[in-house]
Amino acid sequence: MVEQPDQAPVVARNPERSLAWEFRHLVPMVAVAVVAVVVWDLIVRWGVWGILFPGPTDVGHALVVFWNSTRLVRAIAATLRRLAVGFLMSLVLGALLAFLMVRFATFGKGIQPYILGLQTFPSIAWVPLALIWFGLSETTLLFVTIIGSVFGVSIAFADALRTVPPLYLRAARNMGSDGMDLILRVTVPAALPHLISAAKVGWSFAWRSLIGAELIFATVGLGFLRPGYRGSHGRHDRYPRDRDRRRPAPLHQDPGVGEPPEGPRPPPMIESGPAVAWAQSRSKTNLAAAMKRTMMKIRATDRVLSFASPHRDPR
Amino acid sequence: MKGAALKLVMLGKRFKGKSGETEALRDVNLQIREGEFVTIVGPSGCGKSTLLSLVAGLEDATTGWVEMDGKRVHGPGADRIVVFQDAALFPWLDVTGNVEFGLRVARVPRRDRKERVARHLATVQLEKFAHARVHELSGGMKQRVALARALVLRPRVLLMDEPFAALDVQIREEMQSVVQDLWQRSGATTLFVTHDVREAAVLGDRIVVLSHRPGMVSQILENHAPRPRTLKDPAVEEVIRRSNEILKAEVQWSNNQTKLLL
Repeated sequence: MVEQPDQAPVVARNPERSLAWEFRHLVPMVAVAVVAVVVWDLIVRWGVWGILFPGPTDVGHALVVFWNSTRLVRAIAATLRRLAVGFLMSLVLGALLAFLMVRFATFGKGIQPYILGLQTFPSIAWVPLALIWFGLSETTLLFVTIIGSVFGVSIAFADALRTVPPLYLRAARNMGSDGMDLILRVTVPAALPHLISAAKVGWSFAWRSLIGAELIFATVGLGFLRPGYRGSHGRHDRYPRDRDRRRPAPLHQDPGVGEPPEGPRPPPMIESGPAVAWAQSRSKTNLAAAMKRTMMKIRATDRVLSFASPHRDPR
Repeated sequence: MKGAALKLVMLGKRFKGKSGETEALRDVNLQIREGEFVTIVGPSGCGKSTLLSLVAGLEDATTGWVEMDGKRVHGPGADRIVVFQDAALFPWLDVTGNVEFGLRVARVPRRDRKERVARHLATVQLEKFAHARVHELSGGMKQRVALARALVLRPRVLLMDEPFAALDVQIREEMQSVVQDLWQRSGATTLFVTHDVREAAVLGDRIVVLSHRPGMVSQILENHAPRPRTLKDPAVEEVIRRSNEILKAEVQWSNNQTKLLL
């Protein structure tokens, strides 16, 4: 006797239905957007908010300008590239850490609280440290992106691996699977749905960290386009075209600033991190001097950062 | 492939838990001939499943050891395959993927693999469901896939851990005849654990009755009724009656022990 499983009903497609019918589920979403834009426009027209609140037409105009100048496209490309690289690296590192945590339970128990603590640490808080280590560089952005997501990813991955029913592992070991074979053949496919949602969590962490870091410094990227920085005062359509700079310009020399800022002349930008200081100390075998230089650079960074804060005179 | 002779020597197992140590098995001695069908019955919690895990090598014995053809067994191996109570099929694979799992692990070439999988699906009458997903199968079909997955590896010892406990009565009786048939064809030495005395009496050449915790061999009954057997054979009925008597005495004894302790 062979039992038959339930037959899945075959859904017939009506060929007469139009393309618009296929996208009917988008109608509520579009309607909400339209209403929101109208309300926004009315708020601006009636001057409810008053200060520095551009309307949809201003924003649309700025978007067109950005698009025409290819700044927006390049910003998106730069941010997505950083995001892709940073996200992939945090997936690899997170998977490695999660594997160690699950494979060696005592190690996992010991390290889990610390990883949880680091995960809740705001990723923006890593930026000063990263600036000291890597200077105003691409590495700093990547570092912040990775460190902002790797702990969340590793916790979520470890939880995903722990959801695998022990019975599957017993059955597989029984059939001769072991070690890496067992992990690839059973653990990973059994945990796959949880692993995917863990990766999604990692993606959102990475995204937030990167935009946060780009807000503080970057010459190309979405975070950098945010109004209120670099003296453009929210009028990005006035912003001159981005020049082909080989490396990021120091903040005070940014061509976006119309006039040089008031006050004492800021120190020069950081050209290097402690790796250079270390290399110099090796060549001169003078550790004390190297430490002094590093301390000076830290102080310089301090000043650069305080300079970057938005407490400057608006005009 | 012929079955292997098994020898369990002073086999014991203790578990360390939060409420102290539990002794699941004590001093189990058992000799099983090549190709023999032995059933193991006992009250629940008497360590029947633990016994199978020890033979399979999925757990380490606290005392004693298991010998296969005179050689000590260490760790799990594809020569001793377990069929679990709830089949333990992998839901991310289809029926074919499940049946060929062990062959893939053993890196059997593709052509050989396909041929063996097809043959074993045919013996459990599931060739039409080769590409069905696990969740589309009924309980009885799942256990037949699990049987095919085990036998495709040509195990010398087949270990069955209450495989039909979750099935309804009709399917269970049908599966019992399937198992007898497959056992006769494969020649694998079979250890079949169940809490159902009737099932044990129908299937086993010998029926090992375990005592209440800690599990010890209480008595071994012989069953010489010719195969294929049914519940209505007089010889089977006699075995059922005697097993029930022993089990009743076991339960009574353990109840008295409890009373004495109180």
